[in-house]
Amino acid sequence: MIGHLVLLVASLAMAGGAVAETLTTPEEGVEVRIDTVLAGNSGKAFDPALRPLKQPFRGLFGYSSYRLVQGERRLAVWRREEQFMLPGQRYLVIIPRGIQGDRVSLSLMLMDGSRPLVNTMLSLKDNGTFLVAGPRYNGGVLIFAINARIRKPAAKNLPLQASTGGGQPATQP
Amino acid sequence: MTSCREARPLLPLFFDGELEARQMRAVALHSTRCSECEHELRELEHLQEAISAHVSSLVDTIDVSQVWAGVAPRLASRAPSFGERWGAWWEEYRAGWRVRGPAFAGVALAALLAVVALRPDGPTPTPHGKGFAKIDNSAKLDSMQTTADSVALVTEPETNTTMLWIMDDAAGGIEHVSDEAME
Repeated sequence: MIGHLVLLVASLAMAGGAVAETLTTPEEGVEVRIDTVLAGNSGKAFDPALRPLKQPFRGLFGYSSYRLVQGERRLAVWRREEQFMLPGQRYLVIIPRGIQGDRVSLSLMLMDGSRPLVNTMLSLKDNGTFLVAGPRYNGGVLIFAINARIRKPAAKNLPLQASTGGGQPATQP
Repeated sequence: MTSCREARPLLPLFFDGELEARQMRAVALHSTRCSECEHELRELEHLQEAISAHVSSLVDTIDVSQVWAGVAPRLASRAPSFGERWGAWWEEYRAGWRVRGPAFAGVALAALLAVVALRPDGPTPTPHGKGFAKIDNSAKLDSMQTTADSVALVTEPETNTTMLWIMDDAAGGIEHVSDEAME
């Protein structure tokens, strides 16, 4: 009898865990912003547009100059692929998977031409920024700052376009 | 590329996040290629977990349930009346004002100077301009596949920002970390 009870409790706990792991996908999608930054050691300029990233850049990199070369912001629909064109024949494919607590689950693939350089699945804090860095470009190094913010249903008047793939003109943040 | 001899003494500092950015990156990249250093980092992780678990278990054994029961009666027996409290406050106010005035001005001046001095390096606003709230960029990688030669994950502790650094020869256009990183 006790054995059955333990089994039942364990089953319920596992079912609860499975439900907790389930990703939710509200009606609205995720506002994804990709800022492409060119970092180098020629000069000592820090682009004012990158002020929110100053602390992470200082802590992670040793470059003397950082310049925003491209910024793009889009509303990504859940489970739909979004492609962001990047400098140097590269592009980033992002698929928002769902919400888990206060985190956004994303699939992220960095392509170098036709070659998938990195393919990763990550959970990012809502309105958090994840950095991908390393590719060389124009004598410096590219840093891609990927920001994802859950789009709440109330905020419908933002001047964003919902797209289902393909590039959009760059929007400066 | 960094050698084991250079990286090994830095591993504990790397684990505690006490290295400079270049060194952090170099040690992180080295550990992706060196199984021995990677193993040592895992050992450090296990050690920290063991210490943390041990301290937690000790804290759990402390019985604090009787503390308040012992303190509360003593407080109740010594609580002054409203009149006594008012009188004491007034006496303290009269006696202390001559000292407190300049002291207050000094503290205010120090606070003002601190604000002015720290302003350029103060907390940065959130990406969407909602003031000076603390930034939390924490991220968790659930899975990763790569065709690059090596990749490294480094986290900046102030804002919990995670950076994925890619090194690749085949593409011919990916940055390498030089030995300068170990300077």
